[in-house]
Parts: sequence; structure tokens; C-alpha cells
Amino acid sequence: MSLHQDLLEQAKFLARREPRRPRQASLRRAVSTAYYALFHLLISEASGLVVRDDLLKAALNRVFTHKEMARTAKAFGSGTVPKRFQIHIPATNVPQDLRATAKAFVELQQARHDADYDIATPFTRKDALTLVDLAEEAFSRWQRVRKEDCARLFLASFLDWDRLDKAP
Amino acid sequence: MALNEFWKNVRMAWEDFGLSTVTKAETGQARDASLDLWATPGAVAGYDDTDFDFLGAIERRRMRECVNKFRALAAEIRPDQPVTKEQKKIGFDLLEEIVKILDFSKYADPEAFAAGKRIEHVVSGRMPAWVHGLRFESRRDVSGDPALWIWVIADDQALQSQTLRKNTAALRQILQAAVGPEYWPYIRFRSVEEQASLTGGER
Repeated sequence: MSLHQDLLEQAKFLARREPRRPRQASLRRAVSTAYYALFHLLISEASGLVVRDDLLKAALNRVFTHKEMARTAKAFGSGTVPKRFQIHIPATNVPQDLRATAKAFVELQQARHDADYDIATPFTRKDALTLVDLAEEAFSRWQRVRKEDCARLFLASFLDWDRLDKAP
Repeated sequence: MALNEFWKNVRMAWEDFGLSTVTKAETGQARDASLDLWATPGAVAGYDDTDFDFLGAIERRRMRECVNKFRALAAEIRPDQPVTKEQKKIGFDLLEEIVKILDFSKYADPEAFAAGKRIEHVVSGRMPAWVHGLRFESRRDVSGDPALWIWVIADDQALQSQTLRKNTAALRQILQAAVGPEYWPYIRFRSVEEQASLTGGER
């Protein structure tokens, strides 16, 4: 299985550990792992647009940043594509599956940050289960939309949103 | 922002001076005058009716009336005289009414209060029966953008594995659409029991 699929399975396992009294460590690792599952799915898809060789893909994977990806995801999640492409893809044409995937990415990135650094706010079982499920749902939605041009543009925007977002 | 100031002052009067843990019966009892520092106009300082355009007409009028009555009462109290039993009772009741509207356990901060009230108005009548309540908190997210956290307090049954995705996806859609463009929404789910255990029994 791929790394992203393994991570998703691990997140599901961690979210269900300790049936009676879940440990914060398990719930927080579940949430964090769910984010990384979606993160690795998307960067592997983005790298795959550019190169086929696994070593090159791995090297390219290192180029993507969480921050740039979140900016892109917030825009696409709101139905906004980079300015340069807006004449070709109006907001109404951004597929719902892509919007939902992008929104899930933003939600999970924040949850991962909270899980790893915000010790003051406890995570509950339902918090963890719903966030892991959100990642799993994003996997499914991504499969439905991944071949569309708008989805490919989403991946390409991870590399340099600012440059692509400049008006033509 | 006046709403921030008002929020902070009411909260201080209510929580820091121990009113949140005082029962109604106790407010009638004679106490040391130093414990009645809340009974001053300062407890509602910063109030401006125009800050509350997001409230429904009835709640907004109730807030205005309570604040005005509280101000009038506090103005009557002489600093060199102890607060009377009757003044304490009236003052406490008015402040309690104000706190009921501000609902500190539901809205974590003034921005969350304004945004939460607007959202509740938009989604009114569209919440499924398994939703017991919403809680709101505003802060910056990891990207530094203004964001709103909405905690959905739900029936445990609605969040079982067979129904979880269908229920949460539908509700996310409703809530995300209700949040204005000024905030990025983060929507989290907790069962009623989980929420109660986090807040010491309070749901």
C-alpha cells in the first residue's frame, strides 16, 4: 500500500484505540496522522503530474510547503482559482468534490496544529473520529475529481500560488 | 471596540467577583460591602446598543432595558454606603439577564458572540434534532487568518460509524455556508457526554 493509504489506516486505528478511556496521545496522533495522510496523497499526486521516476517524485515532494498548500486549498475551497485562470474556470465550475477536498485539507491542517501544539484544548473520541473520517471522505472525493483539469490546476498551484494568482 | 469592553466588564463583574457561583438566595444576604464592587456602572461600561444589530429584536430590547436599569440602579448606590439587600437582588437579576444573553459558556469571546448569533439566525430551523447545541470561538488560525471554531454538540447515536459521515457532511455544508467571508470556519464534533465531561457536567 502507499504511504498515504497506510497513514489513513493508522489514523483510523489510533482513533479507536483504548475503547473505554482514550489517551490524549492516541487521539492527537490520530488527528495528526489523518492530516499527513491527505497531505501525502496530494503531494504524491502533484509530483506525479511532473515526473514519473520514484526518486524524482520523492525529491519533488520535499518542495511543497504546508503554508502554500493551505493558501491554495482555502482559495479552491471557496471556489476561487488563481486569477490567471478565472476567465477559463469561473467559481461555479469548481467541482464540489474538489472544494470539499480542499476544505478538508484546511480543516485537517489546523486540527493537526491543534493536536500537536495546543495542549490546553483536549481532543475527544468524536473529535478524532470525525476528523479521521473527513480525511477518508476527502480521499474518496479526490478519486472522483482527480482527472479533471481544475483538480490538476489545484495541484499545480501548490508550487507557487502567488505567481499563478497574478492577473494576466 | 465597545462590544469588547462591555463583554470584558460584564464578564469580570460576573466571574471575578464570584457572582457566577452565587445563588439567588445568597444575593439577598448581607455581605461585606467590598464584595459588592460589581454594583457599579463600570460593570456594564462600554455598552452601545448599535453594537448589537446582530441580535434579534426581542433580545436586543431586553439587553438595552437591563443595561439601562442596571445603570440607573448603580447610579443610586452611594460609594460610602453598603448596598442594600433590595439593590443587590435587583442588580443581580439584571446582570444575570445580561449574562444569559451573552452566554459565556457558549460564546468564548465577543467576536464569537456576534458571529455565532448571526450564524444561529441563518441556520435557525435547519439544525437536525440530533444537534444539541453549538459553541463558538474566534481566533487566528495557523495561517494567521481570522477563523471561527464551531463545536457541534451532538447525540452520540448520530455520530456512530454508520451515520457519522452522512450527518457530519450535511451539517458541515450548512454551517460553512452560514459563516460569512470574514472567517474561515473550523467545525468540530463532540457528543453530549463528551462535552459534559469537559465542562464538569455543564452541557
